[in-house]
Amino acid sequence: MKEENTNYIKYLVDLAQSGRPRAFIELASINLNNIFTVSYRLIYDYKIAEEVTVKTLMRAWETIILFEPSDSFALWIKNIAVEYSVDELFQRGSRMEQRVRRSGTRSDEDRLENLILKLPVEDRIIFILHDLEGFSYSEINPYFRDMIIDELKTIVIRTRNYLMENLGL
Amino acid sequence: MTCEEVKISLHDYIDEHLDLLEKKEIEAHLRGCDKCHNEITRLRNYFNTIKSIPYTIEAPEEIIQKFSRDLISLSREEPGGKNTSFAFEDEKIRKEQKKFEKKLKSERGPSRKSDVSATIVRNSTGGFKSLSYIEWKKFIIMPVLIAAGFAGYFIYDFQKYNSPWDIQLKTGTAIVNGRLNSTGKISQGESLSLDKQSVAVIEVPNTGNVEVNSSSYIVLEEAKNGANRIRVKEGSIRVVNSADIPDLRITVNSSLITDKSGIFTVDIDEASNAKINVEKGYLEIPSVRGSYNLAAGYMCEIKNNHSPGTPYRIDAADTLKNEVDRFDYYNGGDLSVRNIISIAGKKDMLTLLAMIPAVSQLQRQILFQSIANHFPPPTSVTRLGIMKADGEMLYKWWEEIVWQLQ
Repeated sequence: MKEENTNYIKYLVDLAQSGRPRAFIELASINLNNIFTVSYRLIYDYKIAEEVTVKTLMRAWETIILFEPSDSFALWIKNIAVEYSVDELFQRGSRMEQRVRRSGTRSDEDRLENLILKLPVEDRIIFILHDLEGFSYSEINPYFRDMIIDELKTIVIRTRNYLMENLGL
Repeated sequence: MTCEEVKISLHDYIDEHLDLLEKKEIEAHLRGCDKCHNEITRLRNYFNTIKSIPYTIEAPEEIIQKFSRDLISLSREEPGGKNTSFAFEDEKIRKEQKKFEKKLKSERGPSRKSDVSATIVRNSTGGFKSLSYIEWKKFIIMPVLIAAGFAGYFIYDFQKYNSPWDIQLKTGTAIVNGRLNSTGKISQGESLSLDKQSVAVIEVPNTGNVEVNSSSYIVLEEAKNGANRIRVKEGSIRVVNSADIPDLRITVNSSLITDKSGIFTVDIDEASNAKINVEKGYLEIPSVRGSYNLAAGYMCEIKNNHSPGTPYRIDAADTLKNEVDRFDYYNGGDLSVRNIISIAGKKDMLTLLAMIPAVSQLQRQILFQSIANHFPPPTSVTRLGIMKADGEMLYKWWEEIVWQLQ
């Protein structure tokens, strides 16, 4: 998942690293939807995703000095959001399955989201990060230290097969 | 390729994880096998369905508003912290004020200015008359006390100077400040130059010896207890400590190395690139990401006009050394981190530890796990602390690894 910083982002990062909060707020605004999206997809709770987004932004501000400008800022901040979201999920994961939509709508999107929500917590995180967010297996691996890459791959394949079957593909 | 083999590889194929040859084999099979072709079509349909999920979800606007408020109020509260933006704004305001005052002065003219001065003098004279006896005493004693304080400090500070230092010539001749040295001494601010045949030893007060090798050029930058400092400009030196707490720092290029104990060498090549090699004890090396310690058996490079590089074992594999070089000086990035992790053995974990402050959060997690596989962090070191590159925790883990490696 390779993303490059534009000159404007580099400029803002430089200012933020020298302690300018307004530059960081601009960076936060640019990346807000991506952070919120990944948090929401993982947690599937609007309110908690909001909290995680704020925590992510605050943590990113506190550690901006450690950010290496040659890395992608978008990916760096997204990783922080994933870290918080995964922590949150493991704490509250068991309750997430109850959030499956009960509405009568039956669009592909709704069906897919419901199926994703029914996945076990670990499978859901791995699937979302790999197939929806574009993380590579080696980028996902640190969140599941007890698994090797092949196990992650197996989970993604198993999830795809499950989704394909249930979507009637 | 059989259908079963293709079925296993189809996901890797669609994820583009296969090399060119494997890819061609799969494609050749797919052209001739309807069953597998149907399977890949199914997978493609799956990805088309996945695409129906919105790429991003609109975040509530209140998040950024709340965050902005919190951040700005936090920045204002931080004493000497990240409030440079406001310092900058204050500076801007001060400049504006100065401009305004200048304008005002020119408008008022010199006569107006003298009137103001006269008022001040008149008021001051009145003030003198009204001073009580105690106030008079304070008025006279305070400057005397301040002057005495300054004088005491200067005397104390002056006593710390330990210049000149002794030079013992092993072979050849010593040139101090461009002149043949006959006194066997070198003073603060003076340089020592040795030719190809000369070797000398400098005695550093409260520390030990510095062996200055042939074709070397050094400068005694500061000869003062608690702040002894030598700059190595050319050639090489070997520092041998005899004190438990040495009092010596070495300037190499623009980096200041602190001698912590033991024996180490500093070599500078013709391109002014330096190599620091620790035989015993350890050194403190400054870095843009905070200082790190260089342990015995490890070395680091300080390239000209660069900050010190990542430490590595003196007898580490060349592949590791090359990858560290790429990481430090050629923007090796995440790929270099991965390569270093895959090459590094148990004894190279201090290299991985020193890289933590310089990499992304994700890479930190990978580094953390790689090091923890060999040396579990001590109880006072947490994963979160390492993710934040906490200097104290990094140091504690470093100590633990060094202790275990001994």
